[in-house]
Amino acid sequence: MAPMKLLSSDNVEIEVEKEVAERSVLIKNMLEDVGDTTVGAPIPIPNVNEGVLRKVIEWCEHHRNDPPQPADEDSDSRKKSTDIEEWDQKFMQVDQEMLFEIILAANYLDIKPLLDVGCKTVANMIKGKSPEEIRKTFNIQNDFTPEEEDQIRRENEWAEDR
Amino acid sequence: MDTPATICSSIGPLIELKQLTSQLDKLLADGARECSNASETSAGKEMEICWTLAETARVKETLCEGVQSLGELTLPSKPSAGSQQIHYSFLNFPREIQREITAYLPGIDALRSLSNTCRNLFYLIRNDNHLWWYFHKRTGNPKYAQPKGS
Repeated sequence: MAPMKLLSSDNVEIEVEKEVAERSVLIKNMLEDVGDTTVGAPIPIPNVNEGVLRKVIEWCEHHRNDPPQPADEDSDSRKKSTDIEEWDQKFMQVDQEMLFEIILAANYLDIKPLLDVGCKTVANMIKGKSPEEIRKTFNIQNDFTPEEEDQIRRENEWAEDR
Repeated sequence: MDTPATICSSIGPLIELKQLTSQLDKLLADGARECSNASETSAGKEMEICWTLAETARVKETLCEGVQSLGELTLPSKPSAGSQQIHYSFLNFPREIQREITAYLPGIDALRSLSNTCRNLFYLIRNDNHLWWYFHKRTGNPKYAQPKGS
């Protein structure tokens, strides 16, 4: 398959096989729309910088032969499982900023399976943690008013009484 | 955020304004030259030139302010995925991504813990019909048996 070039937001050209790049629905549609009129010219990806784009391409290369995800798959079955395959788990072992950047890039490039892996990773970071632990993990500031704290306390009591 | 369309639409006027200020510079220089030759002109003409110079200077000042603000519009520090300038956090995620993440939370405890971290997430989870539905479907709270708007 012929190589093509992507141009990151920081103006770095990255060569990638068309088949790999087409894991991105955004790029796939773009290539279908422009046809062969831009052969050789890099496709600008203005919202993703080199580091993140290379990481996304690494994921796409590993998953190049995955069967396409059904377009309408939004059922509970997909939502229930937070299992992440081993390679993806290792892939997502990056600092939090990079993890968030990958999720945003996957969303922008329309790579649903990568977005799912990213969201599952963040969900797994939330699971089993107290509000205070979540605040610490994501650097969130507790800015509740005393009235809201009271409402939360009442809700929690209701939940515990069930 | 400045879209490419916004940026492109502001480049044209910026160039025009820069050309205008150059022309005004030239006019001011011409005016100053005429003033220096004031002895050769009538008093009325001298007044007229001075007024025109003052008016031209005022217009130039306004144009310069326009150039400056358009320049800021044209050359924004564009946030991008991976940008070092912006630190994305869970709270900065677009709503649909936050929703995706919460949809993967396995039970009420995780969702409630997340909603109890800060005001932003507290109200986001309660005001979002989809999340609200998830929240109370899982809790079985009879008070909120039906999702809002359904």
